[in-house]
Amino acid sequence: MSSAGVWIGDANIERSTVGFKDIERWISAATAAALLTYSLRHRSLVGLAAAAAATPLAFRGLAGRWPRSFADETETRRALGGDRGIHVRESVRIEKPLAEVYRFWRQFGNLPLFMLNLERVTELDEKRSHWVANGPAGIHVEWDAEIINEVENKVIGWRSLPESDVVTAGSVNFDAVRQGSETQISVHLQYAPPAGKLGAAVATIVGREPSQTIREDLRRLKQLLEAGEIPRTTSSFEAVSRQ
Amino acid sequence: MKAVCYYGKEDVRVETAPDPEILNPRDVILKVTGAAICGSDLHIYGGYIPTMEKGDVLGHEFMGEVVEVGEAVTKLVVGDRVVVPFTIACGQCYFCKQELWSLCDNSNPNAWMAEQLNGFSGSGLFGYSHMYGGYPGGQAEYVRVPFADVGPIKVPDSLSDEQVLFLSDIFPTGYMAAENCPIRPGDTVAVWGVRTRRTGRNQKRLHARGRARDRDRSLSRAARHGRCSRESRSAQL
Repeated sequence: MSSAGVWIGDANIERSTVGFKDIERWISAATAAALLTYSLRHRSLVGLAAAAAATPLAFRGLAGRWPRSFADETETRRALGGDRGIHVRESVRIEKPLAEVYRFWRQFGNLPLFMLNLERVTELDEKRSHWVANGPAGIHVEWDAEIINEVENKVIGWRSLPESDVVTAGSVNFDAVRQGSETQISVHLQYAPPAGKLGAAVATIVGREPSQTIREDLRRLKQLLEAGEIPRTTSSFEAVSRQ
Repeated sequence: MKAVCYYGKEDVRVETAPDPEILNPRDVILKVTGAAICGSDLHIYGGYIPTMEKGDVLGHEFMGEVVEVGEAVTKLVVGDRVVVPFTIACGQCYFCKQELWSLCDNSNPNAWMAEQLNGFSGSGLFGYSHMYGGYPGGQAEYVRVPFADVGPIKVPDSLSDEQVLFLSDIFPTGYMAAENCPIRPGDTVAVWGVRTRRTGRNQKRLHARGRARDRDRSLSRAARHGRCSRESRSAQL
């Protein structure tokens, strides 16, 4: 079996274990339960939004405090050092020469063409860029990122700057394979979104876990670079079931 | 337009369906002049194919006349007559470069569904469930054909529809079976379920009995002398 189209991935998701204390928490937990019930019945964007909204409430209901990332975890090293945060690793092989694939990715303005959750990326200067993504319930999530490691035709590493909505860091490696006729792209993404690890766990229930999202993004990149277009059908079924 | 639509198990109706449109630069739209019903359509009809939705247009064996052309299409112009293979192939991925069209990496927008069920996905298919792309099929007045420079075969005026329609699936399926055997000059071959394959149930029964149903000379002759389109390699259904 050829390795083209083979995916390597794992999302590192942990659970929190905590106990109950006061009435206020019961209210949070009950609201979260209602939202979760709703989200499970409506496996859609609205459902996901409800689930996302439920997460901090559920956390508060269980832990008696708001998730820590809501308050002060804006520094990437503290939030993402070691095995902290959520890790997503995905890779894809593309039937195009390395330099072409690298050049396409390095123009960050191209990323929203295949990353559906990204609305736009603006390059501010050589190192810094501004990112706008579509969060749950139609809200915009914005952050600034800086490149912390760049070796042309090999690797791009980045991290979000302090005071961002999300705390994220990651790298993408480019390797020539099959005598240079193909390029392997390996993405390692780390993040601590507002809802934290519990958020990813809930998103998993809703059917939209992060590694699947990244995998589909990379699939669209492959389609765009190889076939020149991303396949579409008129059917609404696809859109509904993907959201 | 009128189209043959799936409404549920053993419930297929001719209904009004949305007219197809050019969605991508490499698309064409065909006015369908001929379409066949496949044994595989019976799997859908019998309710055995997951991810079929009410209103889905059936049909993966069809031909027609080009009536609209996407901006990136170079080999076809309005007015061309073409037969369309049932596998949708981009022509540029690893598998397409090996002429393994049915394994195309890039033509199934819902590959994730097939991966969840089977562990991998094949190419997109016309009229054959959302797991294989949700592409409306060709048992309709009009049909959208993606990657139109890759699959469709131009038909010269000297050949009638009836002479070439079965290049879409039925003929290459038999041809590929012969190729896989592999049949050589002088061999005697027994072919089960010829005459457009009858029903799947009938075929299975015959296989189970291990009884030679027919010997199709034209097929073995085709394998010995005939030429076949490259789509022969992709026949799977």
